[in-house]
Amino acid sequence: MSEEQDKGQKEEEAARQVVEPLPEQIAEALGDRVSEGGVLDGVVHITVPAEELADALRIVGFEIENSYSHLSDLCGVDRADCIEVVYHLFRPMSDEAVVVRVKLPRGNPQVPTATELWDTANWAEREAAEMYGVTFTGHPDPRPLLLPEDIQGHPMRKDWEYPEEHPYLSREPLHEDFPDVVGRVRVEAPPGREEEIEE
Amino acid sequence: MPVVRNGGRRDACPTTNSMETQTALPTEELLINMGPQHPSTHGVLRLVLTLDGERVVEAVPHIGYLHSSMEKIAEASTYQQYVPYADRYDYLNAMGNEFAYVRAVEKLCGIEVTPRCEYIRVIMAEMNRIASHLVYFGCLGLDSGAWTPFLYCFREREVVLQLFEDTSGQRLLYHYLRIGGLRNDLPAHFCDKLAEFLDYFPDRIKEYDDLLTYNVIFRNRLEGTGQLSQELCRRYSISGPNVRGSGIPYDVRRVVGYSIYPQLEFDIPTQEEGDAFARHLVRVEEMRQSVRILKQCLEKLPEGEINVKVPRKLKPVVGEVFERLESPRGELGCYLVSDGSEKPWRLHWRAPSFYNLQVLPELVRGAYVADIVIILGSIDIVLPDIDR
Repeated sequence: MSEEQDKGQKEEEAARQVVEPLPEQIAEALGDRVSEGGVLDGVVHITVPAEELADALRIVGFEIENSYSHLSDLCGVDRADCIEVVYHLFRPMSDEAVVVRVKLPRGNPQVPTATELWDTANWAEREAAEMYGVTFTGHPDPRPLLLPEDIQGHPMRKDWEYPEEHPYLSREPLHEDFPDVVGRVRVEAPPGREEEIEE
Repeated sequence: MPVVRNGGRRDACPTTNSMETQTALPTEELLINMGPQHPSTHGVLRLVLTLDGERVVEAVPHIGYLHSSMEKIAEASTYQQYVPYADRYDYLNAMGNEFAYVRAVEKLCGIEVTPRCEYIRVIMAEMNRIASHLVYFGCLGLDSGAWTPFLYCFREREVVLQLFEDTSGQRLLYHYLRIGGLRNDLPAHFCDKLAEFLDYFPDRIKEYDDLLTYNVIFRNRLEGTGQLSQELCRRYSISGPNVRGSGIPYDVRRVVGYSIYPQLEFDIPTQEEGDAFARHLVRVEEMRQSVRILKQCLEKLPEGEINVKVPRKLKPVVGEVFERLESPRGELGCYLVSDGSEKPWRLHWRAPSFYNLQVLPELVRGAYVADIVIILGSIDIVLPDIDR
């Protein structure tokens, strides 16, 4: 298949996905806080600016009638031109979903924390923070969660580069018969951390 | 079977009374590390405990020791290549993870699988649920000092694993589900062997109950331990048997009604008390419900093809999908973002253990050190699922 055909087919498929307007209840409650919104395959998608996020989450999650109060998931997404934080909200005991997303600049992404509304957001925000470099302002415990303390950068970003040198792994082959398989664990301590290892 | 609560004995070993009762002597708080190499932390979980005598003042979990970049690997592999990775993070529910992942990809690509394939997938998921709950049951016995039930549980788990091995060639990490179908059809003897297992398994559950569940020592340890209120469940988005042990009948199989579950009859067992024993009872009853589901699946299992034609170069449309399933540990979600290429642009797992473990500091506050192990066991976590 040539690239042009491929592209044409993709556009055709994209056109088939019909975006319906937001349901009245949500559109009214949020007013002009929404910068983009629509219903796709029965799922409500809302994009809000970072400064309106706290309000939007509170309204959709708790203030409207039959609110979407189950925060199922929170994660970051690297969209190449921006960093996104995506909140998956559901009505309790139902499959009706609202996806709230906020687009942040790559330079200094900052967004208010959702931990005041859901304690669920605590670890999820810590994970998004270390993986994508998003600062969740007002987070009660902004320590790294999963990654080692000495890691450089934010590894889930698309422009993150695998480090050439690693303090504990060398490029030496694991076995002389398999010269391509590298990654022997260093026995000697990395420079500058000799004392630490001895202890 | 209705369970009569053994309430009278609770006064003898209180676990959640307040600190005020023991202020006779001023003592210093003690900071100790529990784990990561601790036999009862179900993997490598480290808890930094602040203790006042035998009581926990504060517990801070440290995770990440098994972080394996499952989500970064997804961005570097094609959609088909990633299926075996899905097995590897919640290894007790490997079929369920594959199920979640292939369902998400199929939804993104608009692939409809055959009815026989759907039935076999549900059979595998429910068998895996039984195997997973058996591990839970045995390990909670170990945590509370009972060695024998563990061996009995693994005797039955062996039968399930043997069936998995006959079907997929593997005992733990199967790579049996494929996008658009399955690796192969069921072996000839599968249905007979499974039916035989389903016939005697309910009696075996009764045997475990007699050994462990109705054991007075076990019940004294569990009743009233680790009270999880409905308010906490809401604040922490708790799911699975944990939330059903607190009286909320939240089960994704019923709520979302994915695959063929709407056509099957089964109950959602709940308990009102919200303690470790309530969660235990829910899991035991869930095994019986899984037996019910499996019997119906065997009865209705249609003949026909198992695979639909899927292009070798799988390129979904630009878009995203969030697919939720009920794993033995709770609500398992797979968030998949496609940019129209052969590789996922972003994959995120809504791991049930990850969100369920967050509530641990709240549950162990004020409890005895020895009860931490019970509470942790009753939440039923799998560490690779948390660290991914």
